Amino acid sequence: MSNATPPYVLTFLLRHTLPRIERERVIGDLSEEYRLYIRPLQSRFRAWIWYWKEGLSLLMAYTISRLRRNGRREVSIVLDARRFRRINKRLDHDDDRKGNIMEALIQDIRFALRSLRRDPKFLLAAGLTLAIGIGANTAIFSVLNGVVLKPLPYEEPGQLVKLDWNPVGEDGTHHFMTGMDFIDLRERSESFASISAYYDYREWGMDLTAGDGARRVIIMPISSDYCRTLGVDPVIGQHLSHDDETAENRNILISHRLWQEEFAGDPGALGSSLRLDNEDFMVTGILPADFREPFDRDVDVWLPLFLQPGAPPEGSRFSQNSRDNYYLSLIGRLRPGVTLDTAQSELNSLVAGIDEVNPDRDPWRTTVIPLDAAVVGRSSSMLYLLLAAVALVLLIACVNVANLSLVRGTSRERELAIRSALGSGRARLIRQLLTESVIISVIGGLAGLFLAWGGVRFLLMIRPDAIPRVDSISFDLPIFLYAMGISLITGVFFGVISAFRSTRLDIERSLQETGRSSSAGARHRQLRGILVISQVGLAIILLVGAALLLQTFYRLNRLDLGFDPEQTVTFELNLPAATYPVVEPARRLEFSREFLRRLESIPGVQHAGAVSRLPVTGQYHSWGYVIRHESEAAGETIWHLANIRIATEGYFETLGIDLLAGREFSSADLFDAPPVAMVNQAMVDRHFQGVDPIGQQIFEGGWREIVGVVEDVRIGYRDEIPDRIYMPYEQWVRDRPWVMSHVITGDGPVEGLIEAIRRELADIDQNLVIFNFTTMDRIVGQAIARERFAMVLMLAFACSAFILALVGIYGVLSYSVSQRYREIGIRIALGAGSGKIRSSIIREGMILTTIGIIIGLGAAFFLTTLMSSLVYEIEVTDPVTFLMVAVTLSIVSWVTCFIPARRAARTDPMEIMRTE
Amino acid sequence: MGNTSILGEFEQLILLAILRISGETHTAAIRQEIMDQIGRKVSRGAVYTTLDRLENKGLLSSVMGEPRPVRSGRARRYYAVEPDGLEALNEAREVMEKMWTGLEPLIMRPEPGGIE
Repeated sequence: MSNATPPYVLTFLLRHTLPRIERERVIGDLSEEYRLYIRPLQSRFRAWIWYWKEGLSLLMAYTISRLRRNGRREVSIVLDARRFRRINKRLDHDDDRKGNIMEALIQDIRFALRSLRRDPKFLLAAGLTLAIGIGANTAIFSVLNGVVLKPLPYEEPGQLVKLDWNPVGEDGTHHFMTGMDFIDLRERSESFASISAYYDYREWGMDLTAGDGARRVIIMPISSDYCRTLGVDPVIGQHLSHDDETAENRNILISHRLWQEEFAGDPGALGSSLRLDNEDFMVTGILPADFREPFDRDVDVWLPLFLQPGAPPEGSRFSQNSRDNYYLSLIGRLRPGVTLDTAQSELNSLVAGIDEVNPDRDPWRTTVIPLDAAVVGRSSSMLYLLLAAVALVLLIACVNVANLSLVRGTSRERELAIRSALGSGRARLIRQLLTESVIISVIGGLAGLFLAWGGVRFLLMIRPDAIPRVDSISFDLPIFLYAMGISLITGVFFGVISAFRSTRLDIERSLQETGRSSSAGARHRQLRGILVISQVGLAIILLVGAALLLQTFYRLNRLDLGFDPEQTVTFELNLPAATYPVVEPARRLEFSREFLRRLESIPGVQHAGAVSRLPVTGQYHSWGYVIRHESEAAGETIWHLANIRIATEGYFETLGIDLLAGREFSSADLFDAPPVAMVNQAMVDRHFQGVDPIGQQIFEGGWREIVGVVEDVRIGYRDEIPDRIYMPYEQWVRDRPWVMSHVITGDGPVEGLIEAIRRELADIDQNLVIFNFTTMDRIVGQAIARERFAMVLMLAFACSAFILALVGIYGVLSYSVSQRYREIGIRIALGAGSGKIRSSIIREGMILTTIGIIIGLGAAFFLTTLMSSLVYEIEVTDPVTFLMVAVTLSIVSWVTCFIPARRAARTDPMEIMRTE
Repeated sequence: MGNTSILGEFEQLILLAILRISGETHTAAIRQEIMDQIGRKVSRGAVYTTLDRLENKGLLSSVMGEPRPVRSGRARRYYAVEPDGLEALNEAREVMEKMWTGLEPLIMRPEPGGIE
């Protein structure tokens, strides 16, 4: 009959949690019913379920009924105390100790709830303060968790690495790799289960034609084992193979989304064709719905790269594979058990071997970095900084609540003294007070969870593209555990501060003193003063941090970007090489001239132009170039790097980029005319010192003459302005079929122009697609999104810290005033002027504030160095900022001190006399 | 006692059930009796806590039986209604009857089957 024994675990649980008197018969009843009626008739599993269900519901019922029953009873300190003594005595018996854990805990919770209910204002103030602190913490943590801590959504993500490539001596720079070097590494390396390449040098799009419309889809060219490296298998179909890495290949993988949209999820899509840029491609695999590109790209089609030595056939969309055409990015998967160091040293010797056989090339070096670190990049330091900031806010909140409980502890001194007199030990009282503080913090934490949930919504709303991996930010169990964890820590933290202080009692005196006593206040004043000082200090640190970021943002925002984004819209347009072949430049040119002419004829449009890459969207097409006079003077070829941009005639005027010397492109700069270029002022400053740049020759895909110099245009807010070479679209048109970003300015609102633009385009060619239509303002906004994100949050934290600190000062002063009513009344009765009373109270507050400010500034001086990567054109120890923060805080806290001071000064001595 | 409040519905049910059962007045039997009479499930916890409460009020008394192997060596508790309990039941009934007096025509359901 051994299987008729009721589950032991629950019996054990019941035996140790039920009230002692009830235990015996309750467990007996349950096991009787189990043995006689349930187990014989039901399966073992069902019987087991039954037993657990009944047992747990019993437990609930007892707990609730005891809480409720005792909550209703009259409150009597003496009775409570008597009860305590009884329990304490009982605890002395070993036999009973086990069963009383639950009982004692329930008792504690009950007292705590009762005493909190007696003081709802305290509960509200403390709960709310903690809710804000815990909520903000949890919100930031959930972002950090999603972006930094959660592993990447791939199989064995710890094995995934990114291979960075940089010239020896330029550590930390990121360059692309050549096709030949990639092929060598892929074949020779032993440390990797696989290495694969992808082409993210620029974003590829292709026009997908289906039915009578066309649309743009994002393409990612990859080496055939890219998905295998990430550990992602197609849900339908198969992986690409090395045989697909040719120029003639037409096999592709598509995203789950594209499969749904184009084939309505039909498995028959496999093997059918997709028409991209007017060529047919065959779908050989469909990737899972939950597959995400590591770097957040929204790719719909993965296309095998051309990975054969040498150049692809003329007119191919692919790049040539040589030792000096750098265009690939690499990820790899380490073999199980291989460490980063092992892989690194193997790669070092491999690359050294490659360099040895290619002596005419500068030596290179490849660095292995974990893929998750590469994905998160600079965002992690920002998020950790924000978490640190928000932890300070929580600390201030804790101190505030500790302060509040001290006030409460003072007013409860008599109660505690009576309990103590009746036999409660100090440990018992501390446990009681700790239970109270933990309950408050858990209540605060639950409310904080709601705030955090709202906070995360808000964060995602203000700028999702400021941080990577936004998709993986979610509100799940770890977040809940985090919130509850910090609630408990918080509760114990502020509880310990107040509990130990409040329970250090002088029973006799406490009982003798009547009502509102002054000695208690004096005893606490010192500790509370320290608490206020630390609050002010912490708030100062946050304020300084926020002020630095605010100035950074202000400076960045005022930065001259070199162009005027107002009333400008932009969109991308791809002229597919299949219908507008590069070998027929006249057709491409004809289209672009006609299109721009039509755009300018739309009512409300002022100017229209196009460029190969918009400003403030980062480094792009950074190519080598040679200055003829410089190289000739040196007697050897000297290469420099410049960002290459292809621009139409009207581009500079449209974006308001000023011409500084020479002329702009004209319609005479055709593909059969002498090649020309325009350069930016930064390039002139760097390389044409004392030389007139106009008329100079530079080599960029052939020798060209510099005809004009334009003002510098930024590639990003913080990036240094690189050299830049503009080449006329009319001359480039036969070179490569690049996508052009069109820009259009209007004399009024421009967002509504899209329809007119679409009409004009459809009029010329129905199969062309307008892509990424947006305003230039929004492009600029995205470029500064990260800065704004950090600033807004830091500001919010600093403000809450500031307010909490002020509440702290106010609380301490008001309390001190209320404790000293008698003293103040007597002083006034004896002739002290109200001004004197007022200034003595204000002085008390300002002394605390000043000490706090001094300590805070000192701490900030060291801590703000952590922010040096986030600030711009301002020292992290900027004295003006420090001074401003100190002055502001002084003024506001003076005002805060003034309120209780004024109340004190208005004390009516008669009233005091009457209440005595 | 000084307890002037009227018995709750469930308290009445418990007391009445104990009175209805002769002899084996242990918890499971009491619960079964109530479920049999009112025709729906009654939570075990409610029965235990109500018994507990009634005993605290002095309306019930209980004695422990002999330990039995089928109960893993544990004893049953048998309940009996105290005079105070009978008093309280009567009081509750009187109160309800007072409240009902004269209301029959207003409240009674017309019974289609006539008198039972």
